[in-house]
Amino acid sequence: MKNYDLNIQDPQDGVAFRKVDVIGCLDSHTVVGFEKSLHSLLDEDVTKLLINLEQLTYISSAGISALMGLTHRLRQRDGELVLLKPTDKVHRVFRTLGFTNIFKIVEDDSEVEASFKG
Amino acid sequence: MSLNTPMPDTIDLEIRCPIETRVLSILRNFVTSIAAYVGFNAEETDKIEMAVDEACANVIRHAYKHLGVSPDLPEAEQAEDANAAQCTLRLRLVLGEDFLKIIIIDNGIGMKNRPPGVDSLEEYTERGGTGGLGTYIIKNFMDEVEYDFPEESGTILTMTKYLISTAKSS
Repeated sequence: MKNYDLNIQDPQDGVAFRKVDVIGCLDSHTVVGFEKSLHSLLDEDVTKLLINLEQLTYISSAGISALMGLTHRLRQRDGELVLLKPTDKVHRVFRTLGFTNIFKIVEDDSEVEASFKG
Repeated sequence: MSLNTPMPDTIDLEIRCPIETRVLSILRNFVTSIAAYVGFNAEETDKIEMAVDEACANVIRHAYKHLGVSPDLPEAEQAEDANAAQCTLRLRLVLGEDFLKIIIIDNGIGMKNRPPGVDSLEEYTERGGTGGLGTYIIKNFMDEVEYDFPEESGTILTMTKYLISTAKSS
């Protein structure tokens, strides 16, 4: 019945951000583990965070609030959260609710580096 | 409509769920298959799925918190057996030719006494983006939304979506 997984990629030389892949769904059940893992990562002084959403099949308000929480925490330390390639379904939710104006979203890996500089 | 009044030319289904967040993905799968059966397209089905998920998550998180049944409570404050506390979540679906009516029934603390939802995205961000978005989603993703509060206890949430949608958001 596993419908959620998280892959926190190791730091890479010359790459200023940490990348995390979210797989499955982010709802009121899975968001607890997601928040715990991500806030532990931020405790390691990560300031630039890239969350890859290309395998995220569903997001609820609990998942959106978790992303908002990460955004706030990173901004407090002059950091930034960038969301990469949300699935059509998740992008539609962001767009319909107005979160495309709040989250920084990039659609291509080649845009990631520049999105953090901006 | 009375809760027990049968509607002609409809299919009436009801399931009873434990007060646990792990059931949410099962309920979503169930509701999306029903919505597709009625004839909703992918976009409208997504909205129905999300509205049901938010409504059921609200019951699971808030309706029985006063009895020690909520995933938000620390372990030490959790009731040992949710069933012993007589906590119920019933999901009723009425499938019509051109509509889907979803009725979510609990016997916990009424919606009136739960954390209030937001009316706009601005209000949500002003509150720090921490909560209240679920009721906003329900209101905006469904065509008709009605809350009833039976005298004895609980909340009955009735949400309807029509095949030719009159939803507020696109």
